[in-house]
Amino acid sequence: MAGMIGKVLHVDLQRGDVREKELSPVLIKFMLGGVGVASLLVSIEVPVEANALDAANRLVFMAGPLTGTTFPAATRYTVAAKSPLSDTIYSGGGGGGWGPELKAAGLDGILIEGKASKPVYLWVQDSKAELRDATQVWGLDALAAQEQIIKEVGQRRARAVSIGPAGERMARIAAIVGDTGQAAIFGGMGAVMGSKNLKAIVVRGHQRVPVADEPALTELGRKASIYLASNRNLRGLRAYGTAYAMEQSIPTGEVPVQNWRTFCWDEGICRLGGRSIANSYRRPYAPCRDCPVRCFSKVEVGEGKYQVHGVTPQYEALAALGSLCLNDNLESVCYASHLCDQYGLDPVAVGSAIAFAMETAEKGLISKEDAGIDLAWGNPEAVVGLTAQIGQGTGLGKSLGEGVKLASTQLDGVTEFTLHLKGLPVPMGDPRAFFSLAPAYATGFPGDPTAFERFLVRPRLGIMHKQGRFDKGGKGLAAKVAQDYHAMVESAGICPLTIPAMHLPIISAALEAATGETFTPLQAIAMGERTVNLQRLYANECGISAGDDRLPERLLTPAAEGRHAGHVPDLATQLEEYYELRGWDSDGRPTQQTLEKLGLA
Amino acid sequence: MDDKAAGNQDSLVAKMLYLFDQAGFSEMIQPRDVVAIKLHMGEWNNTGYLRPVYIRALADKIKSLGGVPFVTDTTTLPYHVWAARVTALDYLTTAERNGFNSGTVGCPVIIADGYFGTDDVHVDLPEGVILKESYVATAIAAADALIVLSHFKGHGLGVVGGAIKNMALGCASKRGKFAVHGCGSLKFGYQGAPLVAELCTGRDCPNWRLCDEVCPFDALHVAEEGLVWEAEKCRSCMAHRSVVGCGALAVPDDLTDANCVAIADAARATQKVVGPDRVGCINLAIDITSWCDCAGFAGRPIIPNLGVFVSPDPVAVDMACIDAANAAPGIPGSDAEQYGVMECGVPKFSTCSSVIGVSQLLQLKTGQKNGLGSMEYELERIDQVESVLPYLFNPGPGDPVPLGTRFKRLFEKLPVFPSEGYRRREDVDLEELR
Repeated sequence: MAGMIGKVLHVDLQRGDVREKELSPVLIKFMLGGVGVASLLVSIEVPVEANALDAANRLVFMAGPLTGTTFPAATRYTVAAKSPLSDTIYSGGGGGGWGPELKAAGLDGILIEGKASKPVYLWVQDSKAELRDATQVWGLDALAAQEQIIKEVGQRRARAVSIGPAGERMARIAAIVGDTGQAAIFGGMGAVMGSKNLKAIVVRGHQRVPVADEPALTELGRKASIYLASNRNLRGLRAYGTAYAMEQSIPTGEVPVQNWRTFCWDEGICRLGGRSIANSYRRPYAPCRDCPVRCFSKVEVGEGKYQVHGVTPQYEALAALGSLCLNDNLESVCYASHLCDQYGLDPVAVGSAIAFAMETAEKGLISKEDAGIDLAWGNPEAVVGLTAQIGQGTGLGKSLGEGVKLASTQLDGVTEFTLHLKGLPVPMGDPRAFFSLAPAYATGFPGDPTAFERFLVRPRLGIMHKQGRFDKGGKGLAAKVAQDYHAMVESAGICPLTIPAMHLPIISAALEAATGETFTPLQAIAMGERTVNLQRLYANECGISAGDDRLPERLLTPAAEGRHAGHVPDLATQLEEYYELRGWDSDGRPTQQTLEKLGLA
Repeated sequence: MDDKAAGNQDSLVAKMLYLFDQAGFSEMIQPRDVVAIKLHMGEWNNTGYLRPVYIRALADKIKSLGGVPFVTDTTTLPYHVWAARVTALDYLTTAERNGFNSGTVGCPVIIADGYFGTDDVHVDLPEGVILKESYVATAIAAADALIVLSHFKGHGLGVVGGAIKNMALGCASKRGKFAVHGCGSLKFGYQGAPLVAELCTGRDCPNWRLCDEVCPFDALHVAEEGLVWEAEKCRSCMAHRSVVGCGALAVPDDLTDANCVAIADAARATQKVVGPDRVGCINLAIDITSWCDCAGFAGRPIIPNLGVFVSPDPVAVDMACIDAANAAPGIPGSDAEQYGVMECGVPKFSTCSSVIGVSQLLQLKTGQKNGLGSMEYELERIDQVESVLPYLFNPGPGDPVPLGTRFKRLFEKLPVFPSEGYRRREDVDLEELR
């Protein structure tokens, strides 16, 4: 099947064995690519009882059929494995040049198994792959390691993904750092990579991705580029990157402040917003080829205490390291975010852990001496200091690096402010401000339901019009559609940030042109639905059921003031709607009928 | 009746006049009745509005019934700097440029709510869903009968612009329009808008004077450190909207949804004050763009022309148009393609017209609730007019005269043909040109 190359590199680190295996066209037709195929491979290959940080876990990197083609914003690859945070399957996607380079090297994906006896990195060049000794770069920060390795392979245009010291140490909140220079894949995937003694994967290729109908795909790409460049819903993203969401979210009270318990902090949020960054430190940077949105940028803080030259923090990092810790010092947030990129850490998990520590200190449950740092709310020193400690695994950072859930088990009286979703950090949007976030968070698969709640109409999927953000009904539907949509574009290889400008027919038409197979819009979305159900099946087997689809109590406590004061989602009713639409039983398991419908039985 | 045509009998003008009779509108008009023809005459540089011929034909028809027609519309709110119909003076200037005056339409053209939109009649509306009162322009309220002639298309705020919207904002005076747009509402109006003063950079902003001076009610000022806003002074005139670009004054939650609801309420007020049995609605569903004629442009239509729909019930006639639009395919290269609603059976306006996906049925559902009309309708499709003769050109009274008889004397008198015959070649190789 065109679009996909039909080859996956299987890397057995135990035996140092690297071989190409065929990815069957039947499987591609069934799961498309990207997150779909990655989820399938993980659920087949990783036994449910396997410990995420054991050799039995598999780490799958997978591109989609559109990745690396001329279609705009098609730069995505997915990484999936069993997560050490949630103890079930996790998938996350990254953009930049690594995915397209992988396809150009003649591969759809890479499956890593086993554990190397000593640190290694994987070097793939045009279908030739070898494991190389990484002792020299082990211990280096993720960005320096990428630079060093690219120098070592002697290919200036090679692209690398890597882990930093946090991943090497298997801190559970460690991330994989993308070739964009930014931590990109979360859910503890950095720890899984570290557990395999794999420092980096470097790829370089020269092949063109084979597509079935080149002229048709070019024409569709031209149209999609116009949509991306002109769509009114992407205006802020084009101008400021995801950081624009800080300012934009103020009127709804969506940005979490002070560990989700403060609701009026406009001035602080404004100081952390995309416009603040653009006014002072923003420099152009476009790591994703052919994308007219250009949401990435760099920051350059040349003076003061927190000098930094790195990639601009994304919205989630600004919120987590900023508002969540009541820290309105923008320079410190940029600095801490860059530390996350260097150490290989998920900034949301780091920010959540720091906010947790700050509240713990406020309650007097850890002393200033124990902490060794003044954990007062909003102290930029504490944010930067703890980020470094988590990165190095020293002091408080040792336990915080395992995530809030595990860290909380070492303390008493912290339940009230221990916020996580099945071990994973809570994404930076308040479900009290947009009710659709509640069922989406509770069930766990990524996707932005608020887009479908507030402006995106998708009649074929039952989203006929905008809802009110506090409406009782329709939230399960918004969550389901957002998750299916997200899974579909991540399977195809398109960036999910473009969803507001990419309607179903253009995605399915692009898939048709790339693969040469028939894809109706509904067939395309079914790919996403299948992926979500497949991950759910695996989660069910890992012991997760309806009882685990919960939100921390604090997120279901109405705010006394602010822009969603008094409003709180009725999660039970929402989940009822969601399960019914999904075809899951009341225990949160896909019914036999659903599995048959999706071909998963 | 649809817009397909194979001959003179299929002209949309003929179809419109035929349906006027079929719907019983002729019986509605008694001799000496003053009949308002409510019409949107198009914004400056808009090219999608209805051609004056429809209106002239309608005015002549009403005159033939003994009625006294006038063509009318109301002044608009000053939505933006380039708005060209805010005063009666502006409106008449624009209308002339667009081809509407008493000479072209055959009856007076009156701006119904006076020079600055203050001439109106108060209507109590206990049945209103949001609005409990409305203000209808005097000339319309005073008319004996009202023909609502609407160009059916999308609308950025109302989602669809059809009979309901034409009767609502179209027939409301300025304060009636302000009421629809949430004036004074603490929940849906700008008085309840979230202010994020910190987003304003104060007098460091190069455009600060614009914001400082734009509010006609002095509710908005720019101090050294940021935006100062006195909500209690706000009248939701929206003058600030094209000026405050930093997002400091955000759009209130559900403002657009509430607008659609209020539109149907205001339409109900117009219907009440004229009398439900004295209103006739004609929707010309042609040149169906995603934007309204109140924009200074008309884009490529999103669906093919649907034809002319007529009913005394504004809700039913809009519903029939929406159903037909849903069933129609999208036009390539239009907003229907950009927003992915090309296929038949998919709702078009919630996606293409509303900037934020507001339901295209909100106006109609409200109209059903407040007594304006019914979404249930029976569609009687009429393929052809019974006889085309009444609608054809006839320069004089009596039966039409054969061409030869009529022009014989002219052919004799005037040199229609060159006296030496035409100079031409007879042996051209047409095959080569083919």
